Amino acid sequence: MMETKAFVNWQAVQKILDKETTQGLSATLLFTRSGALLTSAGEVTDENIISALVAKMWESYKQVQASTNFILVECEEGILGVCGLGKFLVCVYSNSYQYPLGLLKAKIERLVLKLDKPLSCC
Amino acid sequence: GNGVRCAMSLVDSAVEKYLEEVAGRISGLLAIHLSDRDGITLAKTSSVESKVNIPSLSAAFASASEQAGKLNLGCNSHIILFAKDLVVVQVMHAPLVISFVGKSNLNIGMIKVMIPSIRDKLETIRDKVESIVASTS
Repeated sequence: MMETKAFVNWQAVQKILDKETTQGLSATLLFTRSGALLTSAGEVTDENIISALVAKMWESYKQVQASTNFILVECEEGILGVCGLGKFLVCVYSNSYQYPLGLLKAKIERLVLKLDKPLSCC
Repeated sequence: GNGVRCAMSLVDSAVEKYLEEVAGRISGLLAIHLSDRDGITLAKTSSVESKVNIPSLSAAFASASEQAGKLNLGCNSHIILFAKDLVVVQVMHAPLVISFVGKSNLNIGMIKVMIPSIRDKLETIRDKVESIVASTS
């Protein structure tokens, strides 16, 4: 039987992203540390730009504070959270600035826990 | 550089006294720093020595805040950084960067509530920095 452990179960990853991008959240993005988008869920536009910008932001903070594990970005018209997961970055945002920051953080942390197993072979 | 520091020393003590008073009201807070976009510290509360490079964080924030404005989420208002045993809340009050450094249990909600009054209080120092930057450029 062929050993399949080396491969990422992308179907499972997509399913998790789709399921966790609940009401109030606009989109979830999964990308590499260099900003290359792997996949996304939700109603997303300009996802490549967002992943590139967020990856750059993460990197510049990481260079100053190596133990950075989560960044929350609050803007006038929405909020965004990004968390590291192995070789990847998980980013979730909402176009509603009223979406509770604490809830966004909790949801991302939960998402990262769920993604850990399917992505752990990377 | 020097011109900014000389002028700043005139307002330093009043600002730092105000920041100390604010800091006392926020649980989990270690320090408040006021710097310019390049990370040069203009005023700060006296704090326990910490392993955080706040000038570099302030410079990183100034650039990150500008980039965040391109995320289709409107202008950036705050960035909150979570690291091991550390939370940093940063706000732009152009051309000033305000950084709140705290422990993991930092009361972020309280900081957000206090930011508007802190901005009001810092209007005089902001105008001074702007005029110095304008006269030296």
